[in-house]
Amino acid sequence: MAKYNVEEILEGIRRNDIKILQYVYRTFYSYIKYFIISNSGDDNDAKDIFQEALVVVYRKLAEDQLDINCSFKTYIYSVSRLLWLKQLEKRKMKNELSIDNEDYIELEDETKDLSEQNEKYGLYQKYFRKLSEDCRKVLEMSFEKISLKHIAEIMGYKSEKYAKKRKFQCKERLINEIKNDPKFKELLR
Amino acid sequence: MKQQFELIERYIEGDLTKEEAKTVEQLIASDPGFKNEFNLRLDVNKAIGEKDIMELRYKLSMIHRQETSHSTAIIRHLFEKKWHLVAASITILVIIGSFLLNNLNNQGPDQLFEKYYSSENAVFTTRSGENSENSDLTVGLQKFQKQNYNEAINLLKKNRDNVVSEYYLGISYIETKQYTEAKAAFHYILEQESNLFTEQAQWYKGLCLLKLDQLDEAKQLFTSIMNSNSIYNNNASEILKKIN
Repeated sequence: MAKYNVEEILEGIRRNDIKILQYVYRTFYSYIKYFIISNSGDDNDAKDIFQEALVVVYRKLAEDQLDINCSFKTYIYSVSRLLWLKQLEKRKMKNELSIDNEDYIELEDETKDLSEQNEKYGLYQKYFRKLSEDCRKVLEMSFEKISLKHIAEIMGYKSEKYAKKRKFQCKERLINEIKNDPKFKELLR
Repeated sequence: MKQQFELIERYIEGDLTKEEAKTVEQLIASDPGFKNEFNLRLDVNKAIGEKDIMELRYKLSMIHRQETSHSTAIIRHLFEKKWHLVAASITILVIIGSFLLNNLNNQGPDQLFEKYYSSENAVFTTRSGENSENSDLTVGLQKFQKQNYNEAINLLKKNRDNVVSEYYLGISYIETKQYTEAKAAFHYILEQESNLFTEQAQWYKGLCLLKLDQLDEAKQLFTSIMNSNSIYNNNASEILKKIN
């Protein structure tokens, strides 16, 4: 397998490049998994934390906020570690790590804020994906500023008025699902 | 409550009169509950708009699945619907969106050209010049979405020489087990300069070749997918292991 340096990895993540993402996964996932599982997590937690850590890296790159002075391994370990400590705190579990063998850096406050925003948006996106296909399309199209008239045409609705009603219903369904998630109340705190 | 929510949504969309908008602004300033509701709705809109992030998560989940599952019996499952439906649902909105914006919005042709012209979108731009409504394509795509593949084929066939209709035509042919026709549709896309559907077209053409038992050609195609940056490169390499 080809090897990539930090710059190439970051550029690959920025471009959403599947080859680099695969490389990142194959090279670094095992460390994160070992860390999570050794500290009261399971396979699923490891998968989620690693994924969200990469999304946080992507967000930082998108905002041009990322300047890494350590190896990618140290960086992704540090972000995953931060996210997992927060999870442990939320689950009211002791957040003393029994195994914490890798090097890590202290992350700045912006990264902490970003990870909170990421968690919030992740929750909203999760429920968005769970909506019926019909609702998802209506909301996506209105987000793309496609007019109600054309939404009605594409979806085969009888009128613009119905498209408008449907759009509101879908949005309310989404908002309700979000509000009913126990995580939502935690996030508001 | 419902009325309040509707008011907020309409405010966000700029669909209120000046007086109504002022009322909303006052409520945001004075009522913390109302303000939270407003912020939530704004954030949800932003989150829905993050297609790149959703795509990244999708890719990462796919990689996770690929890396953790043992690739048993993959060829048997190749024609499972979910593969192309997932791919299609990601692309279809983008396509319908750009198609509509180019064809139906009441913007001047010059602005549209400036806004949308690139070699990738040239297909749509050209077509909009020829035909402003192009309803066979629109209705054909609707039929496709509703999985009425035979009807979709009849409509999309009237619109050949267009990568969008060829792509959905190809999938519809696969759905109705007409693999030779499907292969031709994907082949057409690969011959075009537009790279809108190249990854998908290569992939589906390869699958058709498997079904048609044209293995030499299939191997060649999957090898080039495997060596490219395609989202299907892992799958292609798994297939190659099985057929070699």
